[in-house]
Amino acid sequence: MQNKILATILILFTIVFSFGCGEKEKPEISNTEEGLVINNPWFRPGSLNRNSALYFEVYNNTDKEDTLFAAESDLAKVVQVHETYNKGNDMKGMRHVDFVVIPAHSKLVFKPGGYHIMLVGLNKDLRPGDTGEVTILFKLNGKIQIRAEVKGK
Amino acid sequence: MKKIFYVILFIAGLAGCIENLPLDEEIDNYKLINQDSTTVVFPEDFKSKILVVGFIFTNCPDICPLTTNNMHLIQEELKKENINQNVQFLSISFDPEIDKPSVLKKFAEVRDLDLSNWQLCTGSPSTIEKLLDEFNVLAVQADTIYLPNNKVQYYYVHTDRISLLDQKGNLRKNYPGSKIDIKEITTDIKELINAK
Repeated sequence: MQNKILATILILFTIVFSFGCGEKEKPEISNTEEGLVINNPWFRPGSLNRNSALYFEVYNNTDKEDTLFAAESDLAKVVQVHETYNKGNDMKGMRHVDFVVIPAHSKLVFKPGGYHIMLVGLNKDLRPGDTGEVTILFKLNGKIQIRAEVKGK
Repeated sequence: MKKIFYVILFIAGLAGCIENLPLDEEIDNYKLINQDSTTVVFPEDFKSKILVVGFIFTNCPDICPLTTNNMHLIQEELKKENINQNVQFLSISFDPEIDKPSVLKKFAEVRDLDLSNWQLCTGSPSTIEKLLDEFNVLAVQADTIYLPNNKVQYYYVHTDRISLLDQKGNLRKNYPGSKIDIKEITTDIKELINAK
C-alpha cells in the first residue's frame, strides 16, 4: 500500500514538473484571412551602420507548406534570415539560416530569442516610432512586402 | 509511512532550494570607461548603491536588446515603487574592440534609455577579459558576416546574464538576462534595501 502511494506521488511530481519545462508552441490559426498572412511586424531600434531585427507572425492559411528563403530591404546593407539558438545551459548565439518552412494551416512566430530577419549595417538610424519596409520571399507565395514600426529598446 | 514522510520532505526541500540571494562574492575593482568617456572604477565607484549589471555587445540585434529592454523594465518598475534612486544600472560590453564610448552612447540614444542612473561601459580587452572571468560570463566570437564594403562583422556566442550586486559591491545573484523575471529581481532589490 505504502509503495503504491509512494509511486503515485512520484508520478504526479514528475508530471507536474514535465508540464512546467516545455514552452512548445502549438501550431494555431487565429487569423482567418485566406493565403499567407503576415501580422504584427515590428523592428528593434538600431543606429546607422549597426544592426536591427524584424519580427512578425506568419499565418499559412493554405493547404501547402511554404518556405521563407530570403528577405530584401533598402534599410540595411545585408538582410538575412537568422535564428537565435541555445548553447549549453546559459549561453546564446545567433546564426544565418537558409530557409524556414511554414507548414500548411499553421502559424510561425518570428520573435525575440528565435527566428528573425536580421538587418546588418543599417543605412540610417531606426528609432522608436520610425517605420520601414522589408520584402520577404516565399517559394510558393512569392514576395510579400512588410511595413513595420520600430518599437522597444 | 516513513517513505511518504521522506518524499514530502524531498519536495519541501526542493521548494526551499530557491533562496532569494544565494551568492555573496566579493568582486575585484576594474577600471572601465563609460559612454561619456569618463573613467569609472567598477564596482568601487558605485558602492552604497545596488547594482544591476547586464552583459551585452551592441552588434547583437536579438538577445542583448532583450537584456537591455529588461533592464529598462526593471528601472520602470523601481520608479513605480519609488526605489529607483537606490539602484545603479550598468551595461558592460564584452566587445571592447567595437563598442567604444561613442558607440555605446549612440546605442543608448536611439533606444531613448534613461541614463539618470544607467551607464554603459567598456574597457581595455584585458580588463574586460578578467571581469568576464570573475563573473563567469563567456563570450566567444562565432559567426561572421562580410558586408558589401568588405567590412567584417562578427557575432558572439555568449552567456545570457544580468547580475545583482549589493551595496558593498558583492555579487549576490545571477539571472538569465533575456528572460529575467522582473518581479523576482525587484523583490531581491527590496530585500537588499531592507537588509541595509
